[in-house]
Amino acid sequence: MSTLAVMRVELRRLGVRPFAWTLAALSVAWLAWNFLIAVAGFLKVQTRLAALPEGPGFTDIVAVPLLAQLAQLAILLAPLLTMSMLAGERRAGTLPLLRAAGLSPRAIVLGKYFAALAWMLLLLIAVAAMPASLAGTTTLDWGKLAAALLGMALALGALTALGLACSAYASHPALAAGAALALTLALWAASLGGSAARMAGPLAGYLALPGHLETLMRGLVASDDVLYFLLLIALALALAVRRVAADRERG
Amino acid sequence: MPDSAALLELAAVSRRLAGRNVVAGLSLTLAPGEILGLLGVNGAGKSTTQAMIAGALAPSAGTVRVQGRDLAAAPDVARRAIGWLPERAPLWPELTVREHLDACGHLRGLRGPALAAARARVLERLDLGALSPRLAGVLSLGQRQRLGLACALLHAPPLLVLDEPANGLDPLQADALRTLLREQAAAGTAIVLSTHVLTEVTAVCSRVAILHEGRLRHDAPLAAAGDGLRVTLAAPVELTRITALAPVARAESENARHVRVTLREGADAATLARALVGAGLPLAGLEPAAPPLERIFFAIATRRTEAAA
Repeated sequence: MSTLAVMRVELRRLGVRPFAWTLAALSVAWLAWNFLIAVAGFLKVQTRLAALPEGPGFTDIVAVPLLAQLAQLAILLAPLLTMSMLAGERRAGTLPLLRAAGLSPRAIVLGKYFAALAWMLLLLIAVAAMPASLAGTTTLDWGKLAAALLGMALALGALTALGLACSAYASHPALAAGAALALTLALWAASLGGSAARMAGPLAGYLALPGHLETLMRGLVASDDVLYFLLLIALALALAVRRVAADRERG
Repeated sequence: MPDSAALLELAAVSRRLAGRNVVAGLSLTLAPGEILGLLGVNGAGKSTTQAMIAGALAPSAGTVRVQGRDLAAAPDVARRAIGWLPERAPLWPELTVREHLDACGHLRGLRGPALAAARARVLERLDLGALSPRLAGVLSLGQRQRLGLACALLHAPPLLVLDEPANGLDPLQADALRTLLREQAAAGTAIVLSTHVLTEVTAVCSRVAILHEGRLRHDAPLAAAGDGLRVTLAAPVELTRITALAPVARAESENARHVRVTLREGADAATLARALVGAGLPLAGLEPAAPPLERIFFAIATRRTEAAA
């Protein structure tokens, strides 16, 4: 109940904030432009692809790459969306108001997380609607698209949770955004570093986010990939809850 | 042992911040309908004390009980029973006044018609109706204070914790605030009012607590800070001659020529002087029996700590 109350307030704040709308509008515009380019490219090679046995279809050439572009954009979007959620509240002095309303640190963090996630998922739906709008005129691989959407939802969830955790620990929203961006890029590039060092290769390979996302984007839903994202989300949120709880103790 | 009659009870509450005791061993109680004026110089620990009472800050030691329940063990009590206006009324600048009240209502568990009724009540009572569609971020300081106060009052809590509520209010609004506080107290709301303005305390508070360097140095009914008169007589007289006078409720002899007098309600120094002279008593002087609040405050605030000395 408390989580819902915080989520409701946070969604209302996001809904009236020009910054959130600008981010969403620019992202959708950019992805729509890329979608049109991809569709044009697909139309050019469509007849040749049809002749290939097991050749890539509309889903492989247009839908999944479009979602992959959203994942890359989310590296920037998630930190920008979440940066002021806790760091900004702390600076403005409104975080103690939430604590004084009897809300637990868990309710505060989860409420804000679900609000940010809802915003990101709305973006995902808007992007997914682009290829889905052509379902009547082309053949979509619904299974593969569903797996890619699941992967994207999990990736967005993880990036949002990381952003929120950084916002919980940072004293200023800009620092939170910078930290979240650095952390996300580190996770994105972990496998590259691991390969170069050849020392922590397997661990770095497991920690790298793209490896788990690519499997899902190819249409393969493996439990260890899903578990990776869920663990990342749980760890980031647990750290954020811990930090918000410490605020009441530390002052 | 919790005081069953007390709405708020602080038992040996301490708070350490950055290696120093901001509040140390603070104990006090507050009954329904009481208005406690919390005084102290900057850094005395008033805001920290209020944040602990509001549940926003955990005490390092001791307990804060509201309605007999420990805030640390039952944080839901804070949601229901406490309305807090921190210093400078922190607000969400992107929300309108109306949205703000709705957000505060949701966080306090108000929904639907109950929220609508509460919102209408505080908008009307704090004269915020015309500001309802305006963004909180563009409000003046006084308007922000009124909105912060409206948020604190929205769920009709039995305990109000107000940190400098008159900050930024014009004289008319400050007077309206005093009326509002008296109304709330008359309806049974207990109020902890922190302020630097001593006249505000004498105007509305029933009790005064003075904090200095984190410690409670004075906690007494306001009357004790300025009530009563000290009569100096030119010659010794029987105490019964003074107690027999109409304006006198009680008289105590300090010595042969000095008597401490408590007046009946409605009586003042002039009526006492007239009664003394009219009764043929050798009146030589008349002065306040106890030092006024301002003198008590300055005496405490300028006192150096033993450690500093």
